Order: sequence, then C-alpha cells, then structure tokens
Amino acid sequence: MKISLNWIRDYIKADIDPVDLARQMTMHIVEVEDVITTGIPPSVVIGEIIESKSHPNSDQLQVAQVKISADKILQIVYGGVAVKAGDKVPVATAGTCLPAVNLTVGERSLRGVASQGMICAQDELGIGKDHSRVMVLEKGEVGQRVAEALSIPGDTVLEIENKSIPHRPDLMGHVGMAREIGAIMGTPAVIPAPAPLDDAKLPDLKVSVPAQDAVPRYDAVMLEVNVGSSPDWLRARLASLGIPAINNVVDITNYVMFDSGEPLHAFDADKIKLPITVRLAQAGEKITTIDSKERELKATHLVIADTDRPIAIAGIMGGKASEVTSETKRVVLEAAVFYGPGVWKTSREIGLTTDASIRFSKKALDPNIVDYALPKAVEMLKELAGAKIISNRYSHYPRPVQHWTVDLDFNRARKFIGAEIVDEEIRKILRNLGLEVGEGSAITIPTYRTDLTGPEDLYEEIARTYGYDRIPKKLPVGELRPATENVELHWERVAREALTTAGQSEVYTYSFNDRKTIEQLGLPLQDHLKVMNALSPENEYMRASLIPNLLGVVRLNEANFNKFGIFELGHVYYEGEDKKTIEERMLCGMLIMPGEDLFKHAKGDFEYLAMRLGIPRKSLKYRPLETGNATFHPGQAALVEAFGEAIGYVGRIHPQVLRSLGIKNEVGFFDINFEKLSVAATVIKGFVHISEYPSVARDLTLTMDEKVSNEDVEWAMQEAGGDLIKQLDLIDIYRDVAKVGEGKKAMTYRIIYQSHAKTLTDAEVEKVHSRVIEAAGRVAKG
Amino acid sequence: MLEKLKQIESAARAEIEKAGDENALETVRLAYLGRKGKLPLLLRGMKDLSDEEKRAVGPAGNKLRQDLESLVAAKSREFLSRKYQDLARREKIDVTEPGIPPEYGELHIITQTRYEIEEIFKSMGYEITSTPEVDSEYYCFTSLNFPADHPARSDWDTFKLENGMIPRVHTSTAQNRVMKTRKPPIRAINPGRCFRNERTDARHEHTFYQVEGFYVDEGVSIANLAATMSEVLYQVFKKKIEHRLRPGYFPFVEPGFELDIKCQICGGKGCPVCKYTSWVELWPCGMIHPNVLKEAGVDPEKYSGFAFGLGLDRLVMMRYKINDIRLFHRGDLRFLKQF
Repeated sequence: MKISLNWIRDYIKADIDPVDLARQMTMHIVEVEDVITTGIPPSVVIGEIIESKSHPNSDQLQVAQVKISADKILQIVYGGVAVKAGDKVPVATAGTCLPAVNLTVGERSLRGVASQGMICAQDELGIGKDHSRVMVLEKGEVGQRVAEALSIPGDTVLEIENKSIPHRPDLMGHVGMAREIGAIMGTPAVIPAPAPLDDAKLPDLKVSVPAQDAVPRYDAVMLEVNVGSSPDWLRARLASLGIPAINNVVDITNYVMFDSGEPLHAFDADKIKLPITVRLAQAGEKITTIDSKERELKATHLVIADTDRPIAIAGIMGGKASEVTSETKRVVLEAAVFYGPGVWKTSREIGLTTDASIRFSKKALDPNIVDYALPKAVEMLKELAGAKIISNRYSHYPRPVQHWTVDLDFNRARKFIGAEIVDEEIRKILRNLGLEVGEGSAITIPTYRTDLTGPEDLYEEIARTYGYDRIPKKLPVGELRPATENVELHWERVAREALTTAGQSEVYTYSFNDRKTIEQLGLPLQDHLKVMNALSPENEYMRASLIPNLLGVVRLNEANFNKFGIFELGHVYYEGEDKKTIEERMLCGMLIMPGEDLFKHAKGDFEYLAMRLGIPRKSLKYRPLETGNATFHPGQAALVEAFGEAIGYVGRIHPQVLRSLGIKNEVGFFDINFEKLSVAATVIKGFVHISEYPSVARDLTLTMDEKVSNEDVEWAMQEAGGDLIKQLDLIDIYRDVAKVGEGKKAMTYRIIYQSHAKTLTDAEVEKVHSRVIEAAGRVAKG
Repeated sequence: MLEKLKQIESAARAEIEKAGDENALETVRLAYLGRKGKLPLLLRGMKDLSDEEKRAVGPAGNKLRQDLESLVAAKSREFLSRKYQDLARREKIDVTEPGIPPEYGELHIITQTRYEIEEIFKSMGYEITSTPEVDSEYYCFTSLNFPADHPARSDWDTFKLENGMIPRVHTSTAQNRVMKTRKPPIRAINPGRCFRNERTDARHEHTFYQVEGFYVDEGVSIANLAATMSEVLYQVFKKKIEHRLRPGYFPFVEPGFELDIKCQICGGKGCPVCKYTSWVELWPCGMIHPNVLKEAGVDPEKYSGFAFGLGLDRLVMMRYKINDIRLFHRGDLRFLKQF
C-alpha cells in the first residue's frame, strides 16, 4: 500500500522528513519497505518544435528539431503521431530518469539518426495512460520545467508492508495513517469533518438488503453529475499512488477510498433498474466486471443487483454495464461495509483482488466510517463535478456501533511493559492516538479502533508509541530449576551421532510423496494420507515411508559419488484404526558400496547403532523376509525383531525397484521404527568385566544345509558354552559344489574361551568345546 | 677366582667389540651372561669359597655383570641407530601429498544448528518438547486465538488432508499442549518441521523449521522478552548483533513483534537479501495473548508470558550465507558435506 506524504501533510501541520518518518513508522506502526520520490523530474522541460520530418529509415519514427532554450536546439527521434512546428512538448534531456517507465534517457542513435533526448507521452511522465502520441502542452514557456507549468508538485510515497496490519483496517487510508503518524510525532492530526448531507425532502432511493448478516451497513444516494476530467491536483494525487485518472466521478470515489479506507462505488443510475438489492448470487449467475471479464458466481457470493441482474460483486468490483462513463448523467453513490471474510473468500474464489477487496478483507471495518466517506465524496462531487443530490440517503445500519471503554490499570501496564512510563506520558500517548482519556482508569475507544478491546491491546499502544527500543532489557528472574530431559530427543541425538560416526550423512527429505513413486515402489496407495490442496503432484500424499524420498536422494548422489551412506530420522504418517492419524518416527539408512556385501554392511551399521543405543545384541533377531514384498530384495533382506517385537527391516532394496527408478547401483538399507527402537534402548549400559586370565581360541568348521540359519547355530553354541564363551565369530563361509556338496555351506567359527575366575586348563577347554561341537552339530544337521 | 673373572672380562669385552650385528651380539650375550653363560657359571662356584673370598669375589662379579650388560646395551643401541641412520633418504616422501580421509558422515546443518539452539535454551532452564507434525485445527488455530473465519484457516496457505488434519503451519501448536500439562513457571522450546502451501523457489519453501519457545510466569514483561532475544542472538552469532523489535501482528500474541537483525550478508550496507534496507526480518515474537493463556488453563490475571517462533532455515541461511532455501531438502551430499 502506498502513502503519499503530500496527502499526510493535509492533516499534519509539521515538518516531515521522509527518511526519518519511514524509520519511525517501521519502528512504531508498520514496516515501510520503500521511499519513492514521484512527480515529473525537474530535467523534463518544455521544448518547441522547430521542424519535424519523417525518419529516413523508419515509417513509425519522426525526427524533430526542438528548441529547449534561447540558444539550444536538440535533435530528437520520436514515435507515434507526428507533431508540427510550433507545438510545445515535454522534453526529457539526457540523463533524466523517468520512474514511471523505469528508464534513463541517454543520447543515442536510433536507426542511424542521432537523438539527444526524448519527447514524452503521458505515460512516460506518470501522469496518464496515453502512449499513442507525445504530449502537446497548452501552456508554459520554452525551457520551463514541465512539473511547474502543469502545477504538478512532486511527492514522496511510502510503500507500506500492509500484510502485517490485518487487524488495522483504519490504517488502510491516509486519514488513519495521519492519526498514527501524528501520535508518534506528538503532533496530533487534524481531520476536517465533511459537511453533512442536506436533509431535503427528496424521493426515496429504493434499496433492500436481504443478506443482512453479510452487510453491517449499506448507504447510498443518487446524484446528478457532470462527468469530466479531474483537476490536475487530484490526478497527481492518484498518480502518486499509481492509480490512473479515469473521470472526475470515478477519481473522487477512488480518492475518498484512499483517504478514508472505505471503498465507494458509483453506478450509472440510468443503466440500472431500481430497486437495488444486496443479496447472495444464484449459483451460476454471471457478471462482466469493469475489467471486461465475465465471471461466474457461486451461491455464497454477495452481489449488488438491480431488478434483472448483478451490477457489482459486493466489495470487489462493479459491473461493466453500469460503469460511469462520459455519457453518465446520474449516479447512485454507494458506501457500504460488507462482512470481511465473505469478501475475502469470494475474492480468492473468483481470482480477483482489488483495492476495495483488500480493505474489506481486513478485520471488521468500522461501519461509522461511512459517515465520513459518503459526505466527503458528495462534497467533492459538488465541488468538482457540479453534483446535485436528487434522492434521500438510503441507510441500512441495523446495529449501530457505539464507542466503548477499556479499563486500564496503569501499574499493570508498566509491569507488563517493564518500563517506568509515568501516568502523564501514558495519558498523552493514548490521547494522541485519538482515544478519550479522563482522570480515571476508563479509556474510551473510538469506533474506528476495532482492534482495541482489552487492556493488553492498550499495553501495546502505549509500548509501541513509547518506543520498543526505549524499553530497558531485563532477563527474567526465576527458580534455578533444571529442565526435565526429553528422553525421545535424547535417543534421536544418540542415533544421529552413531550413524554419522559410522560414516553416514544425515539428509532431510520432504514429508510428501507423489503417486507415481509410491506405485513404482509397490507401496499400497490406500495407506497414504491424501493432501486435498496440493499445488503440485509431488505433494499429493503424505509419506508413509522414508524409502521413496531417500531413493531419490540416492539417485541424485550416485552421479557424483561412487560410495556413500545417507540416513534420515523423520516422521511418517498414515491412517490407523477409526480414521485416526498415526504419526511415527522412522530411521532409514541407505548405502552404496560397489563390490561390497551390502547386506552385511547395512546390517553392520544397524548393529552398531543398536549397540550405541544400549540394545543387547542377544535381544535382536533377524527373520527371512515373508514372500510378496515388492520393495526389498527377496533373498537379501530381513525382518528385525527386538525383544520379540518387529521393529523394521534391513538388507537390500529390490534391484527391479532400483532400475525402475533409474538407479544404477545396488542399495543396502535399514528402515527401522524409531518409536519401537527407542523403547528397546537403555540409558545406562552394564559394565562387562575384563578377565585377566588367558584365553584359548578354537576354530570349528561345520558343513550344513543352506537353509540352516547361522543365527540358530550360534545360539546353540552360545547356550552350550555358557559364560565360558568370551567371543564367537563366524570367520569364513565356503561354498563349493565339488567339495561341500550341492546346497551346502561350510561355516567356520572361531570360539574364544575364557574364565573370569581362573586360567582354564586344557581339560576344561576340551570339555566345554566338545559340548559346543555337539550342540552346533545337532543344529547343523537340521 | 678373581683371576678367572679378569679373563672372562677381557674375553667378553673383545667379543662384544667384535660382534658385527644384533644376532652376533645376542650370541655373545648368551655365552657370557645367559643362564648357562660363563659368568653365571663361575659365580655359581662361589658357594665353595671361604667367607673372606666371597666378600671379595661377590661384589667384583656383580660389577662385572653390570659392566658387560651396559656394554651390550650400548652396542645394541649402536646397531639400532645404524639401522635407521639413512631413514630420511630411504623413506623420503612428498609431505604435500594429500591425506587419506576417514569415512565420515555429517549431521544435517539444520540439525546441527537446532542442537546448538537447544543447548542455549537448556542452559537457561528451558525444557525441550516435541509435538506432532500433522495436527488438528484446534492446536493449529483455535487454541491460538485465530478467529473462526481467519484466512489462515482456509486452505490457501495451509495444506489440508482429506481427513481434516493439517500439516502444522507453525510449531506454536505446542503452546496449548505444553501449558495445559504444566504449571507456571513454564519454560519450553519446541523445535520441528512446519509446512506452508506455497510454490517453491530460491526463497520460498513449503517445508521449513521453527523452534517455538515460550516463558510463562508471574510478571513476565516485554523487557524480559527483549533481553532473552538479545541473549539468544549473542549466543547464536557469538558476537553482538545489532537488532531491533518492531511491531508485527499475529493473533496469538499481543503485542506482537518482528525481530530484525542487521543484514549479515552485506553488513548493513544494503544488498538484495535485505532489500537495501540493511535489516533482515529474523523471527516473530510477542507477549502471549490472554485468550491463549486462558484456553490452556493459565490464569491471565495472574500470569503473563512471551513466545517466539525462531526460524531455523533463515538463521542458517544468514549464518552460512546460503542463497537457495531448497538446498536443505535436496539431499545433495556436495552441499551437506560442507558443514
């Protein structure tokens, strides 16, 4: 939103430095994003055409000799309609910066002819829309500044970040902004009240408002008008806000909107069939708006209608058919307050945001604003468009809003702010903001401050006007109580640190999946929560597994690295019983190591992680994969159990999945439910005594069927050897049809025997080892 | 006997002197000093001598053993030093050749920064809480004083799931939950992933990270909030950072603020990141709205509090001068391995 300083100066009689004001406003009211100087630059001067000829190399261009002072004639190439000798035109001399078209004029050659400046059209000077011809000036002397000749003063415009003041509809006009600026400068703004509408006996204007709830106020009056162009000062005001001048009637409604914050609309009274009805649209009803676009309405959209059809979309834009034109003789001038969220929703649904809709979409506009805006517009129409009121004023205002009071405890305010602001200063601040402050604690709130309803709202007014930067900083004082440790987060840290130590890098991927990847991975689509309003197909489903997105990361990185490990500890989401949303933390890792045993590395990483989490190795079991899993390698993946409960999978991703996703390498993975894993974790691991007695190693090779699991053999040996087995490792697997037979494997184990109590004798070792051999042999036979 | 000692001594000295390498030296050592060596054998014969002779021979024998041992040791050291004397030439390398790095992994830069932030708040007695990423409309909006028809509730800025749940738009969802289950004084931060339904480009991302924080007690003031924010900035940037609180608006705070810092990219001279204003909006904060306290069962007449929503992505981007927010979720190890 743009604020014109000239406009503010109408209401505040004080010196205002634009840059300082911008800083003050940012610190006390709302962020000023930019300070822009507008108006016609002083280096644009009046030139007189001495001669104008066609350009030798172009049909569209002309070459003119232009006199810009008694002794200076410039040659300038220009386009559009040719001007004749003796015409006076605006000349932008070389070096002029024209902000309206973002152009710096230079001396250059145009199609082989030198041009020493620019003859400007209206749009290039920012004072109109016309680009078809250069401007021919009616008044002024050669060499005079154009700004001066046209009485168009320069202005400074502040660009406001109005998204951060949704609660302040009063700041959406210059009047409200002037009040605020006056308060922070300590020079209260003076806003002259417009003359009230005459109370003559005139015919009634017929209006009905069936959509009561959506229309807190609707006022209208009919006037006779002489449509013409607006005076220069009014055009300049609108131009500085970037609003093109149309005609005096439309310009006045716009002016009053930017002045008061209340959007107005004028209908051509001879193009509508009275009475006016403010109602909800019929579904499918159509209207062509002033921007010449046909729009289809829904039954929730509020419209202004005549007897036949909608003539405006309430609070957004009027209809083309009843637009005020140069032919217009009579207008219906409307000033209304519509229910904000309704306007906002309609504006989003039909895809049309206007200066009016922005103002209505703010938090509840004060309906009493109509009593300023409507008379102000009528006053200006009388003055600038020879208007005459020809109907009684219609007013729908069923629940008039009265001012209210808020009780302010001055001591509490000081305590809440944390600064010693004396009573007198507090009173002064509130008074400058336009609040009524007596001797007591009751503060009277004017109705335009819809945001001030409780004492904390007043604390804010006091603090921000006083200045946040003036409040002395003071750290809170309290009990030195240590915070409760968050156990869940503790295990996350341990796990992340373990995996990075193991050489894996942490990645973050989106919480969303697209349908195609889910299907390529063979995951059931119906398990995924669907996003209703995703902007792109990639965000259509919530992820129910980390695997799809991590495979995407693998694909990205395999182009740059030939060996790497990644992991993510993140949330997955799915629908549980009774449509309840289940959210769980998963820990998924992926490995690429060409030429290495991926299953063993993935499992090894997981085992290391489990060790770091204090999960005893003996509590972990690995089961061969059930059939029918399409994501994992059918022969080289396992279901992991901790303390008898399934917690996830480890192994390799199915090569078919990898190829379908365009991944060249084989991928090892583990995918573990972190909620379950951390349940198995232990805070303080027990200490294992280190024996001082010598140990004895024995190797044992057993030939067994492929289907015998190593785990079963190891368990049997552990059980038979008991505490005397210090360590048990599978050190070699040998497969050779000729030597060990078809479907067989020779497994070599190294068993280390050691006692905590004494040196084991040969006989003792033999005794336990033979028990181990026997137990292992039994299992190996199947 | 003494005579024999002298003979052993001169023979041993000569042979040690003659030994050409470590093996020869060891042979000599064993021949004279080993368990069955000449000297021990001779000394074992002392038991047949008279007491007077023993007193003369004993010390002389022991001295001879020590002398020979140190002679052998000196000779051995000489061999060792000779063995490595031209090491500098034989094993010379180019010390500017690259080292072999260990296999290392890194925590994501946002995790690293989050942990750092957590430590700062832990040291001030803040508890760390965690709440769901997909939450109900009640925790996302209703409990935070969003009016029933507030635009944020609509599905334009907010992802909506078919079952009515919402990928949270802020970590402020924690406020109600945490306050309801604790009694003041309450000091907590709640870090986590948030979502906003917008198209992505170098500056916009639909997935981002916040650390919600709040402090509720008797007499908590704006001055307390300002001091805490200053302290956190100092701890994060490890130096004094020029900053300011200016008005901002959020339904769940009153008053609300934007915390700005001097642009760390250009040092306040003006650049595209700070849009030539020299200031960068870092995170919003404010005094918790009495309706939010009330909804969470905290008496606003007795207690007040402040809250802030620290933006982790923005902070990391400022600290490391990262110019594309999408890098955080791309998983590109060329980016992640830099931290």
